[in-house]
Amino acid sequence: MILPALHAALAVGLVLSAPRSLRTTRWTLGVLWIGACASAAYLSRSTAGAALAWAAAFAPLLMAGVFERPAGPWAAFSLAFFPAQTGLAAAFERGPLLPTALLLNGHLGALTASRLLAALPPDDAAAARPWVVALALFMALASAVLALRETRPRRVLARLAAGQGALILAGLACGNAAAQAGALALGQASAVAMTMLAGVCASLESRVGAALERPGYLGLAAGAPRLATFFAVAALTLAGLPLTMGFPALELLLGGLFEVGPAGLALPVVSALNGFVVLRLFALLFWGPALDAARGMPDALPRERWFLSAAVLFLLFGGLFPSALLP
Amino acid sequence: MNDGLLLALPVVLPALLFAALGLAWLLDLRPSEAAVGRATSTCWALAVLAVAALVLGSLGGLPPPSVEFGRWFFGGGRHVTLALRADALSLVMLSLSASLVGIVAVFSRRYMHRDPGFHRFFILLNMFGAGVMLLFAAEPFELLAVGWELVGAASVLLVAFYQQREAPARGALRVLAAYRCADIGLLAGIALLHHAHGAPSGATAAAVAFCFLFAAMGKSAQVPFSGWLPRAMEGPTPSSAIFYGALSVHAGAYLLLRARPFLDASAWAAGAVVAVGALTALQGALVGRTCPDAKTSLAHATATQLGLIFVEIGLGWDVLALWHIAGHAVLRTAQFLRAPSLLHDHHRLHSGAGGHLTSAGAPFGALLPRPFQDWLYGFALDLRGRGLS
Repeated sequence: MILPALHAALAVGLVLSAPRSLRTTRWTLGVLWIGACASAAYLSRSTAGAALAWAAAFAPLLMAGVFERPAGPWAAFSLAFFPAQTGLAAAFERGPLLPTALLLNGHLGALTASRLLAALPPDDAAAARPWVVALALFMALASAVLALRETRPRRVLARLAAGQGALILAGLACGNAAAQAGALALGQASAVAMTMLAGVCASLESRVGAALERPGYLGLAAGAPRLATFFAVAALTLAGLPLTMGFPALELLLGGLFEVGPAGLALPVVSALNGFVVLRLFALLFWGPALDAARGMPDALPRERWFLSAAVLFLLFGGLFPSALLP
Repeated sequence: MNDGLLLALPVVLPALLFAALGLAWLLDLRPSEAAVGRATSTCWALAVLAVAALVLGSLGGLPPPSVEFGRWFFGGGRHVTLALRADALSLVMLSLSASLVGIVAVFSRRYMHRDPGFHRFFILLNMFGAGVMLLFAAEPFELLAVGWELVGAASVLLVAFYQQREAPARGALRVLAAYRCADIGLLAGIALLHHAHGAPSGATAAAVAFCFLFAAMGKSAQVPFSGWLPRAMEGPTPSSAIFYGALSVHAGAYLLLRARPFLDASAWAAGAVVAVGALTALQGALVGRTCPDAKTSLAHATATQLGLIFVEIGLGWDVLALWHIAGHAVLRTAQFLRAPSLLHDHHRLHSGAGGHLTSAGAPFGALLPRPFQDWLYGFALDLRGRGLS
């Protein structure tokens, strides 16, 4: 029951904390729709129900005039072809950041794929599992390597989201209890952490505009030290730092994947690469000589601070007492 | 007091102080510099007393203290036990850590006085302190990894402490890259251990030894990862002293000492430890001769000594390696803390010697033509690339 409630809470949190310039009535309804569809997919007991909810979640992204800028039909559709989302980076870069991140962080593709696998006859499922795990780990590794090339915030977030989804699929498809517990824990941790990262990026975009895409160090911590702290906690969670929920998720996933075979060795590499990429993004955004636009810009506003603080508390609670959140 | 509680105290106290200072900062509460300094000094004084009591108990013949707080997390039959244990190796490292972090905390109260990042520095110092005490007191390798990661995160954030400049940010990213590589080895080693139900043998033991060697190479700045150590000197001097002179860089050597059963099971792994250490010692000694500033020279000297410590561990001389670690950590901390006063010290010595001190390297430098000397000087200080020579 945690995941459906979590996705609904994330959608409401994004609506309450998003920059005012974005929050039209249509935008709000679109985000709430995506959150509701994600919750419905997790609540659904059948594979068809989950797939239907997943498809329905795309509707606002395809409709013109709902969000601030259209994702483009190809980019939006390509999100569906999990885990080979070819247009993912374009969807993040050109489309609406917060709704796209909310949709991707539901990892409904991984959920549907694992349910399809579970619905197969036992012998077929047993034969398919190692291949699905290997493919998912390969996709996670490919996403991590592609992310190394990216420096623009939106594109980095896209690669990270794809990588997290592939890891979750690897865990769910693995078939042993430790890996599945790890995948579900990673689902919770990455949904919250990635939504935080997207939320902070949207807040920064509303403050400094296109300067956020400028190459090099932006030094935004000078103007927004608390946004930097929230971003750092989310980044460290994705890097698997102990005391955040990322650590138990990684440990469980690692233990479970090793039971299957040596392909599990890819997980430490993926984790290391993802951790480096997300912390490099933190460094590029917040360290270095400050941009002119960063001087005097407002730090986290109260509405942003409450949502991000609640998210930080969730990640720390999950890091200290993971058993309370694990199935 | 119960031995287990005495063992938990030096780990829990800095962790609580880190949490309290961090929360205060997030809530925009600003305790005075004096209050932060006093709280940190008191915390580390208590930690030193607790460890001293454990050492006295150990010298009196008591069994190694241990404490277990139950299971931390579990899922699918996998769990991590929250257990601390202080054998002789841990006790030496814990005494060293508590004393040196305490000394650096007292030193930093004056060194960081009125620095805009005073509170941030002490938050990170206590985070590091909690991590390093956990690293050296942890019984299962999973818990050791928790301390290992906390030490790494604090280290990266302190290298970039003067974040308004680009060089520290670049240095921190270099450190981060090396640490993430090291983490691959540690995580893979722990997973292999778990897979073998804690008692690997044969090829699995050798694989675990190689994984831990890889992790140790990154953390202890061994070839080919040694390039991060001089770049880490961009941080404040007290943090350089405690991280890169004393404790953080020795975490890799400590991991290898903990991994002794796996090294004994594989002659190839032990040989690799010797080879890596010897190569690093040679590289550090050669490159260190060319460094124009005090902290970078100290960084290469540290890498050289760490290389020798690796050689000792590879040859099985654990007691010698442990003494070497202790002596090196104390000496290097003193050298780093004196580094900002190096010119002052040199001038005093020069005056004391009646102005007769010969400058190091001058006899060799005089053999070169004067224009080439100037060019070399500019090259060493990286002035030419910036058009300053």
